[in-house]
Amino acid sequence: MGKAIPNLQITLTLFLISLILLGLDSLKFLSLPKTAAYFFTNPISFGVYKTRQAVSKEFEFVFQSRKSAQENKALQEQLAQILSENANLRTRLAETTAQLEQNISLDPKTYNLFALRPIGVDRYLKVDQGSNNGLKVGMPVVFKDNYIGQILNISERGANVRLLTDPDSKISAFSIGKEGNAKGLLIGQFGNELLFDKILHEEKISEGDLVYSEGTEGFLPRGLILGRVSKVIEQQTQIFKQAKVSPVFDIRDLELVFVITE
Amino acid sequence: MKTLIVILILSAFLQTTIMPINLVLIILILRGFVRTDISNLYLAFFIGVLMSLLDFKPLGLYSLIYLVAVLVSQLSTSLRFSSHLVIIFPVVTFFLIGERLFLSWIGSESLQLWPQILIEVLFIIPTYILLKVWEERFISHRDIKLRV
Repeated sequence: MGKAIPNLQITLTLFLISLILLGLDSLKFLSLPKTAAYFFTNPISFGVYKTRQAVSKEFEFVFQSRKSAQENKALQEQLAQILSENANLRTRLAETTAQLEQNISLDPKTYNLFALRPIGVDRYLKVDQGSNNGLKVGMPVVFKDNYIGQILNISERGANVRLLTDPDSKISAFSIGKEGNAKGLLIGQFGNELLFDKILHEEKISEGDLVYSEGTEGFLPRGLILGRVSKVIEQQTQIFKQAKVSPVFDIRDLELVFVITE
Repeated sequence: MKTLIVILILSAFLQTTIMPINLVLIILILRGFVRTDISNLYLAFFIGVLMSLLDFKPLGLYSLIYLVAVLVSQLSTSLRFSSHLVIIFPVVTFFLIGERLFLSWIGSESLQLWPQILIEVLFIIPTYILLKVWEERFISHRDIKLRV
């Protein structure tokens, strides 16, 4: 067997050491060396992530400057039209304000928030705080009034956050619009889209409506913004109708996010 | 060797921050095909520990995966057409898919193959060519001369 597998002794030794490391880490005996290692690796990860953001912004400027010139011309034409619509909008604003007063905003007196810094994003958002700072699996992560995701797995000095767009993410949600309200289940789709499913046909939902969390899962409050309806899919042959929902902002632009610890 | 270590460390940081492409596994397996060396096993172990740390997974998990992958690639070199892409391509693709399957099973997560696997598969051939050129840069290939 030694001839069939080259360097068999070394291979077996390294396998054994890997298994020992796995066992020791599972029993939390390696917390101290891992914490020490994170002092070096987290800043490097953060530096790489920030470099990518800076480079993206530089390229983005080149494309946006041309687009801005075209938009400027169109906006000047629209300005005259908008002034006449302003009077109608003031009347509608009074009606919308009464509807929005029902929503709960995140009051610091009600929720304990802890700031986290993103240091990477692929399928999950990586943040630079972990169990050493009191974070636990299952805690919700927010930004202002918007729900970002839920802490999925955690280490001493870092954590992975499952995003709203992850297919494992299923949140009870409701939408509020000018035509009415609708309730359903918000399911993540890979990419930058969400599917608002299980909406009854008699409930009203239209493009542009905001979608909020119901809060029935227990780990997140009611009234957090989840996204905006981009398309309604209604087929009379189906029991429920659906809607595509887009997040209201790009998570890669965030400098800080917050976890609700209590 | 030092250059390879630096490239692997850089790939590990890029893989876990901004570019979710499994460059580390691709480089380790392809080096096993290009050069059967004990250093491949050490690289697999230590880079595996670094990857576990950066990806917030249990230490030793990635080391085990990478050691198995390097071992299989080194054993495959004994096959007749081991240097041919016909053997290399499916082995690397198998481990790319297998690694994701194993990690999703361990972490009870949904499996996401598309479109990352397609992008990673496109990296196989250029990475293999670059590694082969780099590792064989001091080997002179004599022209075959016929005796007349």
